Amino acid sequence: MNLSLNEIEGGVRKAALGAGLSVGLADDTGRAVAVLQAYGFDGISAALAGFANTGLAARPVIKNSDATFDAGNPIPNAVSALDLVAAGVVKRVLMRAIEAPLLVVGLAAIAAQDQGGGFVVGVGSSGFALVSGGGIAIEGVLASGVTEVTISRSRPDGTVRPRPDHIPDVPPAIWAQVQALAALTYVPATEASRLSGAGAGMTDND
Amino acid sequence: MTATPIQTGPRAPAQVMRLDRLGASFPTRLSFMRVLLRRLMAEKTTVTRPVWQIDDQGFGRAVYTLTLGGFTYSLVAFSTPLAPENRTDRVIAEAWDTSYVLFDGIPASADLDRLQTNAPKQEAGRFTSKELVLCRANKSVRMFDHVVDCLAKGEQPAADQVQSVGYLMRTTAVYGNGKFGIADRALFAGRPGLGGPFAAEMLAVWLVRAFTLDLVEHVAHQKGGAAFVPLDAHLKRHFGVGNATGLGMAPFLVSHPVLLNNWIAARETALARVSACKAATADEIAATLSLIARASRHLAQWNVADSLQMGRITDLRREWAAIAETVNTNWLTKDHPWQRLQALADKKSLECQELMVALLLEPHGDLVDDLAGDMATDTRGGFDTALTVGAMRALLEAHFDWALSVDFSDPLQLQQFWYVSVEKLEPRLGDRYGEAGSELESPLDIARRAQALAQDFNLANPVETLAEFLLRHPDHRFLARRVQLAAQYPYSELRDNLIADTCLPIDMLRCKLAFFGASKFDPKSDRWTRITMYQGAPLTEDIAGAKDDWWLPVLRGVQ
Repeated sequence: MNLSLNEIEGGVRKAALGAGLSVGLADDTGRAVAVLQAYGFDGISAALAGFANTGLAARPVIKNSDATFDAGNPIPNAVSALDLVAAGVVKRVLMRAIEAPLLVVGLAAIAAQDQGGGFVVGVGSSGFALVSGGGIAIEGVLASGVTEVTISRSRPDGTVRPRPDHIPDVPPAIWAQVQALAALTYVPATEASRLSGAGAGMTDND
Repeated sequence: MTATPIQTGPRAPAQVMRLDRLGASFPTRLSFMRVLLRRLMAEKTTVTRPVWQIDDQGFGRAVYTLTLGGFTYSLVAFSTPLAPENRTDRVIAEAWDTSYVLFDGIPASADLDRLQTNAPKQEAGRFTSKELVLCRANKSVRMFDHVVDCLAKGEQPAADQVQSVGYLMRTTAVYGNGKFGIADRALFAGRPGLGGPFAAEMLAVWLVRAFTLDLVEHVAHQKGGAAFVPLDAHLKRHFGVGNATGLGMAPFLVSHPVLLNNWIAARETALARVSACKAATADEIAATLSLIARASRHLAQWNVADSLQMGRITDLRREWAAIAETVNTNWLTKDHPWQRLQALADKKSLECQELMVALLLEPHGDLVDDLAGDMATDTRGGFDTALTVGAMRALLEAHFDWALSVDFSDPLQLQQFWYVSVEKLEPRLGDRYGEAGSELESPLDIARRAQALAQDFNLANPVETLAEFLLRHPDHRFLARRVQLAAQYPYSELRDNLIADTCLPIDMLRCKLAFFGASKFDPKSDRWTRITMYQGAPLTEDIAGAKDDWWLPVLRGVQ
């Protein structure tokens, strides 16, 4: 099905809330997935893989100028990792066995937009992404599935991946998973709530 | 000798961003409808109607086409039968009298067929990036039938009825920015004329107005035959498009802080520019006196059933009359006339103060119209996690003092909660102590979150970075970002506790609708309102030669 980027961002944001993430993390996740989809990546599936881990955020081991996340929820971990690198607290972060490596690339794009500069996101052993506010450049092949990810600062250069003319269609079954998670944030309607909505209590044939 | 000017520079956020003041907003020349129509006038736009496939009963489809900024757009309109029992303004409705899309370009026959299948379904349909706006409207049956009957008999509708209703149809939703598969705003925001906030939506509604007027004349013509007469031009111009707006619009102001800032900052900068003028020209004085008189007539024609709002209007009429009594050519000829005029209103009600703000901008297009170009944004603002907790705490105390002073030990400060209903995913407001669902509360509890952040800042090392703090407290990311935004964008926050028992969503609605350019606010509760859009505005047939002079419409010959 065709989805606009705004629908994707909003839907994934709600799904992230439904998956138990806090508002700020859900905001970033929605934006990250929209960026990935805009560049032709399957960010939605990456997000769903991330949502499947309902663990808590982990505390990294920080040694010298490196930080390592061994486990924990990949989304708060990735956002924290990007924060730590962007703030200069550490120079490099290693995230072991992360379920949603592509999502880290999208989150890095958001961190670059918000905090400036760029990031190198290594995904597996044979590929990495150069991410800046201006776009995403891929070198090599990004590993899929559970893999390790490294994050460090980069100059915002590299050959930016061209955005496709059209946002790729999303399989309805995949989008249904997003909507199912989003639905966990909705409150059932009641007559009392209906009575307070626009148009309530009026004769609309006037 | 005149009084010393009392204010320089824009009004402070602490004054401007209170809900009660925002809830007294009036449309200005920076409102989005005004900005759009100025552009159409400047381009001497011609609107054509290449398709008119409407039957004798007024059902079928039509297309209106125009060029704006070098791009062609079309409103595709569908009119379908609707049983009276299905005619509801509620967003939860599933059928409407008319439905529309604003199409990018000129639709081919296949596009029309596709849209004829989908547009009448609205949310249940599916759309493409060729569609920029999706909306629907229901007839004001009373007004529509009256106009048909009159025109068919060769008579004009009663002016007092035209004045009291003001529209033939009411929109019940106008969707943009990617909803249901239509184009993301980013796809066309760079185009001339369509980059302003809600410009595409405003364009669609202006063309919807044209359709409603053509439709009523068409049906009357079919009914009356040779006896038919077209609508009188002045009456015709007084028909706008009605709208019923509810809670769905309110959270937008919270979820788009940079955009809100830009709207308010443009208006406040405009006011500051005008107020700084030392003297008025003869033309400005004449225009101002004329506008004061027009505002008086407009207020006399603004009548609502809501007793609270009607009381405010009554007070405003009295206050405005006193201003009109005081201000004359001699008064305005003295130094700093606009600042003194603002000061005169500042002694009166918020409605009077904000009406004066709108009036002061009106004769100063050369001075303020450029600010309309700053009202849109594609940024969400920066976020610096290298800031220390100490620096963040200082920002929080500087920009969220209003939030930190709320006493949350008082249950009334927590009385309400915002949520999204499963029913068409509409935002709603519940009673925390009387309704279920508060565990799914939407994040409009900004003041409460600010206090929670302050408490955890107080326990943190002031020299650690925000990155390190958020590692332990990821729940504060949302508010920490807003704190930094508030420092960059001073008008980005509504400075009231939005979950208190005293929070009136109608204030948020009126603020947003005034920026759209709506007038004749007609609250039906503290949670939804009817309004009129484009009342008094130039029609499609006279836009090319029109003057940008339709602030606060007045119908001649009606008291």
